[in-house]
Amino acid sequence: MKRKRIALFLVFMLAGIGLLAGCTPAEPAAEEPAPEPEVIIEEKIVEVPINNTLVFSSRLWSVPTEQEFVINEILKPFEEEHGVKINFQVMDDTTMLQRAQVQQETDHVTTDVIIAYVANMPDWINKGYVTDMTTLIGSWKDRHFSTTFEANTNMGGKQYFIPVGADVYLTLANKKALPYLPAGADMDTLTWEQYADWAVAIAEGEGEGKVVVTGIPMKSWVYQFGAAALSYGAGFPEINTPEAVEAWKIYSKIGAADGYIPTVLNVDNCIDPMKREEAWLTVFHNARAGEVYSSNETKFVLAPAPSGPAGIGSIAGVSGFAIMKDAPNPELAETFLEYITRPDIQLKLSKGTGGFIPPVEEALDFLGNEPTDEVISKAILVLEKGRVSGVPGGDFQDWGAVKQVFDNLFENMVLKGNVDQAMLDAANAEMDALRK
Amino acid sequence: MNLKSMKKKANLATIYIISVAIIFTILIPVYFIFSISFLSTREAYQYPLPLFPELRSKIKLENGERGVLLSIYDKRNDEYETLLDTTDFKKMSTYMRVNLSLNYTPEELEEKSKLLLTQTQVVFKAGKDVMHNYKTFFQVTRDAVPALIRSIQIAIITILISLSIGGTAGYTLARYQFKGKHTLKFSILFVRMFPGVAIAMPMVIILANMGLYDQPLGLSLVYSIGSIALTTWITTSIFLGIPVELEEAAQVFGATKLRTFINITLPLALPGLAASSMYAFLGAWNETISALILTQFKPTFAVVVYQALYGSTGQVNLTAAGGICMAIPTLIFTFIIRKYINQMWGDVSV
Repeated sequence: MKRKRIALFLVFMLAGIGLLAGCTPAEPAAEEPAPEPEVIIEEKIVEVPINNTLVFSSRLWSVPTEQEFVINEILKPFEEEHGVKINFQVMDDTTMLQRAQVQQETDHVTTDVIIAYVANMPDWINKGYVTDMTTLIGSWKDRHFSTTFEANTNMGGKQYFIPVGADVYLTLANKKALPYLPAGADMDTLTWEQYADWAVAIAEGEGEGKVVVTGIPMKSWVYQFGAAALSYGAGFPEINTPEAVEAWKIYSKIGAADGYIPTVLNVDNCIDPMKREEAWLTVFHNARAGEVYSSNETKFVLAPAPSGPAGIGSIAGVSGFAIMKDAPNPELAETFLEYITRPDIQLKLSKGTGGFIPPVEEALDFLGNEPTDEVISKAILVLEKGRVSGVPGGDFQDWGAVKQVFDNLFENMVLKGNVDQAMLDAANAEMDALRK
Repeated sequence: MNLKSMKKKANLATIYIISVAIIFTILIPVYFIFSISFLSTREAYQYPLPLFPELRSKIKLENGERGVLLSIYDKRNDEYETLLDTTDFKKMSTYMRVNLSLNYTPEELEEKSKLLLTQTQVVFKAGKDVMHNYKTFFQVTRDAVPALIRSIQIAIITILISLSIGGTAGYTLARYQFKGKHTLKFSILFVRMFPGVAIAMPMVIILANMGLYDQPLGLSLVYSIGSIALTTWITTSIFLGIPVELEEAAQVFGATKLRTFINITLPLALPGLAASSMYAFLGAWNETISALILTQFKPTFAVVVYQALYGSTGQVNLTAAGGICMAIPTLIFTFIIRKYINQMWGDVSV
């Protein structure tokens, strides 16, 4: 009997611990005054003196060599100048937003500055996690930010994000592909038809396809296709309009000639096959194209993305700086943003991190003649003269599902080398069902 | 030689072949990761990947179209591969360090290139910095060493919490009979049936409200939830395998219940406790999602590795270096408790 009692006691103890771990503690009564212990908690959380440490979380510059550059060449001078420490952390957008949610919901905000992706900016703004910087940005008279991204960085006439690291599409070719370039074609003024002919010629000449796109589902194929579709006058994302069909024809022509690398369905980014020389030709983000280019400038050639009847199409991505609501160091955060968005610093940052476009107009005055400057110049050309679209992720219930619709078309139609209007109509209906 | 002897030798040979095959299957991937962690970025993008990292590289400088043309000797093709054409020696120095794992200052490179005034090319052999990936990893992370110590602390606290609660529950479930015991035993595992990601956020908010945000103890509590259940299950089986007669015999000779537990039961249960500790350790050591959200100034080593390597898609050399750094403490821990794990494989020996 005694044993049973002990047993029951121990088991209930265990169950109690489990319950305590799994249940939310009761909300404090509304009339309760602000409990003092919270101040103690705040002190416990941050061991480093708050005023000397700026917490900077970023989805940008995740490549280790880029991180190294940012830490040593950009952040260190600021730390030395202001006698502060910058806690720089790289993480994906979802984790950053989750972390912000925790900090905001528990009133324990420890992050000062963030860099979020354009598609997630509405989330940050709508949830009230970032502060209005309209006055701050207005006080900087020596710089003007590109207006291309205002629809995302601003809301209700207020500016919450400062654009950084813009990205458009460029053509990247291995010099081994140049002998197959169609007669009379110039890489800098290449059309999509010439691009397809080039890809077909390489496949025929080499006995193996050398074009790469991201064939793994949920990656960038939707954008790579979107660039071509925009060139033909389609909107983004469009699937079955006559303009979009023209773009499908281009990619299917390459598919019909087995022009894609054999492992294309396993490619999640174009950097690796291009660097390994498994692929020779691609159209993708300028910063990543720049990364491949700078790995061996003597081996690759860069040019603006191919054009169509409507011009050079491109999907433009951008990220943005923001100051977290209730940031522990708002003044230091503002000083830091003033520093990092200076035109010369923006260009230095862009050149050291593969070739993102600095969205500060004055930064372009500092462009030189180095190959990295060339990457940026060509990207700017696409951004300014091209038919550019952002990512309308907010118009759909699940942007990943939209990507999947395009991925299925790539696998089931493009790789088989045909363009099937019925299949496109069905895919379009599927995409429409995902609209909000 | 008779048939029986031949059969015996054939069996022995088969066992050896299978054993060697198993060893290779386990060791070759480990060797690959280890070897890749010493490759330069350029080597890491070669296809097929080199089995052994180069220790020295042959470098050639000559006059190029833009400035000085940098080339490296490629053994596979028996020719020099051009890499960079620039007048900027700082850029060349950075390029050599990042892509070739060769450490030359801009001044040294400028000095060498001055020879091009009197000769058409400058060829020199350069010793590769084989630890470059590890250095990069620790340079990018900055907080790697404190994070390593913190992760060990978290793992130890998790083990202690799991063993003290899970072990006690396991003993209770093994030794005592009560109504609903089997249902309870089964329901303990419920906590492990929820995906970690799904419960991460509520747990994080609770802990943050408790003031355990960015505290090793907070993470240990989160990790303990899952490992307590597993520890309970493992230790229940272990305690069940220890004959109750042994405890009774000790008590007949005058030992108290506590002394019986400490001197008789606990030593026999050590293999099971060691196995539970290993699970708890691995769970706490490798977990990243909760740690990413729940830490800011005090990240764990897994978070540091994640942050350093999150964007290194395809840079297998850096990823491998991070992987090796992550694996070393686990290997040390497993080595320490290997004796008990081996005992468990041979069941509890009485």
